[in-house]
Amino acid sequence: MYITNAAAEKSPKDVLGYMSQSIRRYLYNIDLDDAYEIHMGTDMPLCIYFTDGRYCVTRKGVLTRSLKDAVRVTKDDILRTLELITGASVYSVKDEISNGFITVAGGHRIGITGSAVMRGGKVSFIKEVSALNFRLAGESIGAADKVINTITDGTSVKNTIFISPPGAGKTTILRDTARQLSDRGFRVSIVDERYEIAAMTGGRSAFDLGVSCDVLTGVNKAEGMMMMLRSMSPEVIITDELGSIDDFKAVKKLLSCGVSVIASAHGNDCDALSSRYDCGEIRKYFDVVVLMSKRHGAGTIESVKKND
Amino acid sequence: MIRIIGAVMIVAASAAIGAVMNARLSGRVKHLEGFIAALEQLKSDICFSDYGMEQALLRADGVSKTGGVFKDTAKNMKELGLKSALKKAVDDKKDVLCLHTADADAISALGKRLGLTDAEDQRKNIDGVISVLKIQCEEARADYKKNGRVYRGMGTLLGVLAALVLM
Repeated sequence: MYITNAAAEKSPKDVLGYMSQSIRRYLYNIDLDDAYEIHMGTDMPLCIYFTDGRYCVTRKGVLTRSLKDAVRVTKDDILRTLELITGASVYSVKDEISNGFITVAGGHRIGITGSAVMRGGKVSFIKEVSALNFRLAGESIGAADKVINTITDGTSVKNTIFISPPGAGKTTILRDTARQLSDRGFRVSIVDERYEIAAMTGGRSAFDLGVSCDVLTGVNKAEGMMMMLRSMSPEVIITDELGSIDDFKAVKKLLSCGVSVIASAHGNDCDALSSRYDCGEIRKYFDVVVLMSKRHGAGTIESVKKND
Repeated sequence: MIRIIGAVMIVAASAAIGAVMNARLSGRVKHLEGFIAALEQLKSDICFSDYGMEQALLRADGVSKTGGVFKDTAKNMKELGLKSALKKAVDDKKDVLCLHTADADAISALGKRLGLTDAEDQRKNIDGVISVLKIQCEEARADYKKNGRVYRGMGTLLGVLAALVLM
């Protein structure tokens, strides 16, 4: 569906460096270019999810649809992998773990499950980690080509929301939208709470975000959007996965300040999103609603609805 | 003349052996104290300063005399894993640091949970090892107090006796 940016010289195989040696050795010869997830669960088969479905990895290092021949992941594999992901410093990424995932260099997001430790009614930590899910980030130059001319006419940018179930390519299309708008001369600010859009490492993004793009990472979206508004004079603010009523309130506030917002949210359609967050008609906030799916692989655009 | 030279050599060798045994006893005390101080630093860096493990280990290494155990661990942790890297470093340096098997085991046991849990659990883990090392250190001090002078004195005395018998 997408054209991968070869110039960026990034590879999904980068994530192998975060896996235990006993798992890594089975994956060296597997082509991960079209893979979007690698799942490791204790005593479960090592699975890789491609656009055409789930495959298991055998001891010979090849893919199979059969669960019978699959390599089984052990508890030691999970612990060693967790050690590599966190640099043996699980305590220092406690906040990320309490959110259920850690983002590593390259923007790959590693989901974590286990036993949640609750404090004050909130998840404070996940102990006895039982499974890790590697969501592979990929830069796809041109991912936003189909919608960019709807989003902008060259002089202004329409408030846009991308809605899809998880893994349908929302972050990838947001990233490419940021690049294209930035290269067209708009002042773009990205609020990247989960380090996924820009994958900043050492003050640099792992991806091409164009020439006029500022990135604020690690901050709560609602707060981050207001910070960007006050500090960077943006024309467009881009953020990922609006997920709370506070996020939508912040969007409403930004719109009243004359800044365009491009965002994404989990869901199947706009109505479901509106009812879930009880924030009125999402359509009232956004001029363009893009529904996405995985029907023809990640990045499938189902519909583009414009409010006239 | 040769007999006298031989006797002196026997006495000197025997005294040296006694001195080495004495030094090993005091060395064990010194290094156990060093490990306790280093672990206190490690605990502080992990629980309160939020240092990454590699940096925390390097900082702990600089605190006191631990024979580079933590430095070696930091160097090998990516390749071997923290637990194995610590065990290897301790095993490699055990003799140089005059540690007993129980001392080495206590330090290696740190690696079982080190870095894999939250700060609170890390504190408990390190405190547990420090407690064991403090007991070991007390035992080492008592051992040194009891046997240190004996080894030194006995070394020379046995040398003199051996020399007299041989003469």
